[in-house]
Amino acid sequence: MYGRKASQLVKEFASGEKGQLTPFNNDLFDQVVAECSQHHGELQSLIRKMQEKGLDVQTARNADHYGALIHLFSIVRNKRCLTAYVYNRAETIRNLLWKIGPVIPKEIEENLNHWEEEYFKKHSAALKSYMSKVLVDLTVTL
Amino acid sequence: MASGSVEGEQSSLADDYDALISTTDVELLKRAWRNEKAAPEILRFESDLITRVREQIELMEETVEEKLTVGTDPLSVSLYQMDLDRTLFLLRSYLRIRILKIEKYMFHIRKTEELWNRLSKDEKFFTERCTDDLKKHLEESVLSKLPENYQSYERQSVISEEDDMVPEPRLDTFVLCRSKEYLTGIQLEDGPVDDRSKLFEMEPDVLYFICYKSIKPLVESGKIDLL
Repeated sequence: MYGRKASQLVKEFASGEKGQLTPFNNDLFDQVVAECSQHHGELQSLIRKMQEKGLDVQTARNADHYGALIHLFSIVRNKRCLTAYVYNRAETIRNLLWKIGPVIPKEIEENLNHWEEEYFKKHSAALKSYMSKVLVDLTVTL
Repeated sequence: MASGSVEGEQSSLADDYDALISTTDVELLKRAWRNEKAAPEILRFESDLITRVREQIELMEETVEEKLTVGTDPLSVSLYQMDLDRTLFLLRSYLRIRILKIEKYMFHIRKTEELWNRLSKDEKFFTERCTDDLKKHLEESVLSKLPENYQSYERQSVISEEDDMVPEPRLDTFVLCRSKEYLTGIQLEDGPVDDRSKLFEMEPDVLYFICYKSIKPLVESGKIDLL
């Protein structure tokens, strides 16, 4: 909780070889997502507590408020880590497309999750469409 | 006839030649390519130039074809071919550098009018597709699984005051540049605060290493070339 697993996820990506994709860590990913829901639940119950005490949620500054803030920051940190994980992998996928063309070798395909495969195909199509419009093959080795 | 006037004639011929060379389309393409390579952000698409370059490439391809069929000597043919290859290389590289910048900063470019207007029509289509694809990818993999209020791909949460999750290029990187004319009145963005009002000057044909942000408008107007 509190961003620890999320930072593991990011570290895992950062420690991999640049340009290579490790298998998508579905387990850790799902755990971080689940933690977001947990934090959200805790945050909401703290807000309710404040309301029950008759406090103005926007301006009151008691222990509940600060507790809620910690949960908020945890959710946002988790979101940043999860997004960074997916976003940076997507960037690696795009670079792969430039290097090896529109057909993914089996060894790499195994490391992509379902949505990443979809993204690879879509981006490949987008590039192909652009290149056919400008009538220039940009993937030729320069 | 004094020798001075012959020299004068020769140097003015050399100037004319320089002036001619510097305005051929290949030179212009080279310049656009160098600028695009060095600038941290995407520059204006040189629409007219690229159209002319494409026509010239077609012409060159026809010329090479023709020379081959009439049996011109291989050396001459290879010279024409080299010229064609060089121009093709510049065109490919120019377009590719731009596409790579778009891929890297697609959300930022899409939502910043100044940058969006610098794209060619085809690049705009490409950017739209890219942003749609990546947005969908993020939404399906991550954002749709998060609690409400945290599902935006541009902001961390609904409480954020601005789009704090959109990557932007760093305009305060330093670039090597040169001006053809004498330029004054450049405001340096990176000096100590009390010095910032000191205006900077650039002498023609001298290399300078400056913060890109300070010379951005001069690059756009073509007064400064990046290297």
